[in-house]
Amino acid sequence: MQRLSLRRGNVIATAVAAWLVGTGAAWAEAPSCLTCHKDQAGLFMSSAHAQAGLSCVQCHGGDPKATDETAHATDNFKRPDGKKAIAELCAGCHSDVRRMNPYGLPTDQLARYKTSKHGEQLFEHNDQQVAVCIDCHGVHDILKVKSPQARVFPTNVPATCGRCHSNAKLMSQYKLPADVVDKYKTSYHAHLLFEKGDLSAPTCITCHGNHGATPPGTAEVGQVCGKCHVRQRELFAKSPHAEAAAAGVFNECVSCHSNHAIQKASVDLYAKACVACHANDPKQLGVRDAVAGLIRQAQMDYRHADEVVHAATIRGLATDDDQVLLQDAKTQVTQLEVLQHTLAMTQLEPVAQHSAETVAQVLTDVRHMERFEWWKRKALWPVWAFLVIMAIIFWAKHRQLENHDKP
Amino acid sequence: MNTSEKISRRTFLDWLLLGGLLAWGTAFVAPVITYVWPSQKRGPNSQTVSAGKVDDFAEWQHKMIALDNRPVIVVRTPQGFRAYSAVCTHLGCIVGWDAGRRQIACPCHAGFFDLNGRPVAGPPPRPLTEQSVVVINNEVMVKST
Repeated sequence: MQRLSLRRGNVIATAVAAWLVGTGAAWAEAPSCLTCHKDQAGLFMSSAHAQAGLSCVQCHGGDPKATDETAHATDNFKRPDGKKAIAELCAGCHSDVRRMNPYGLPTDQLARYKTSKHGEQLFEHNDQQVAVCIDCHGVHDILKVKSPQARVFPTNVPATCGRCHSNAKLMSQYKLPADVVDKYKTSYHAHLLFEKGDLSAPTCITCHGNHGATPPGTAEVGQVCGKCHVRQRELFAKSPHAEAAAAGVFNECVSCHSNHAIQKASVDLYAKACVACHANDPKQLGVRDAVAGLIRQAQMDYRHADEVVHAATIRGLATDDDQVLLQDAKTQVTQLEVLQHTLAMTQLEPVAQHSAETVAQVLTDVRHMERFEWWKRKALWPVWAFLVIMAIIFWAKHRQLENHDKP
Repeated sequence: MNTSEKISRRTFLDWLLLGGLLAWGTAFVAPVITYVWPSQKRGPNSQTVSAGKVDDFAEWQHKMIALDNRPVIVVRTPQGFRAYSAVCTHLGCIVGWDAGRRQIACPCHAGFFDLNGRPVAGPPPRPLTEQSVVVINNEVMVKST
């Protein structure tokens, strides 16, 4: 068994050597490292670094010609001692603009990392438990971010973060919850990512940043939602809640929608969210009821009209124009769902009015068509009567001719 | 009663029979006539509609039309006419024309599309469906694709 694994190791080492020579890698001597480090060969072969033509020596230094431990006995040999050294080793290349430019990679990862909680803990408190480059990207098996197998590919990010952030024992040391990833998996964002296959759906790093503390373009996590939900945030800024948010007593989107376990928003959210702050405030609950009622009514009216038009279309009525009108009503309803972030009835009412008028016009059109259809069906009676009368006349004429022919 | 005004049972039956046959004949001939007649009046088939005369559109002006039960936006650019399905690929709102940005804009979630129908800002995941436009006898004709 041992001989077999040894032989397999030699085969891998030989394959890596052949491959490195084949790809024209600068360090064809690299297999000397693999004489001892056979187990790393397979991992490294499929990595982004191997694809870029790098080999062991470019990160670790050492003497690539030596076939024993003397390979380590050089001045340039690097064995990262601790996570800080790992971050600096990676940054040796990844902060070098000239080296990274051909690959189109940014060079500010270490600088950003130092602004993150992970970076602060490591560089200011020498905390060796926090995540550093290799914890998220892997060590020798680092893949390109766009590779679906990469640990930092969107669909793998929750699991990668969850390796630490779902560890209750580890998280308790930092007084952090360990259920965030589980909550995320129940969210609408996760539904989009995992079930709809929408790779643009937010994952942990979309809101919390990857290397840095917050994603580029934002000063704090609360602003992140507005990067995708631009219109909602724009309208929220005009709402009475914006003032409360500025005063720090209202957490913008999160106060109503929550964060990790965020669900697809519906009017039903009003029943739960508003009472958290306004349970004993009948005036504000009145505003809530007015806004929610307006939207609910518009949605119900639209759905009813949609069903009516659908049924009319199935019956063969010409509903072409009404379908276009319905599309317009749908636009108004969707706009209402966004405009509600202002909580201003003055903005909502005209749109609701437009929607109601459009729906009313659709229903009137369909009623007219149905009335016409009803009359057309009634008109069948005279036709049937005509056919019956004609049959009677033919019968009478037939009898008359028969009597005439009789001698 | 005057005998000349008397109508015999036979004559009455003959008149009824003739009237009935005429009505029957008309019922057979009428659809044939309507089948032949309107095909010349209606012009192009229902999937091609006119957006108006070329002169109705100033440069960068747009117009909304209905095509195949769906709204379509037609824009006149310096390079010619462009037409796209006016249904946003995000949540199905009807898009409009943002004259200031010279882009197609969705009023619901601030999605923007360029003049090739490609989403350039906001949440729309896919481009708008392009409709082909041809100008025939100074008439802007839009055809569904």
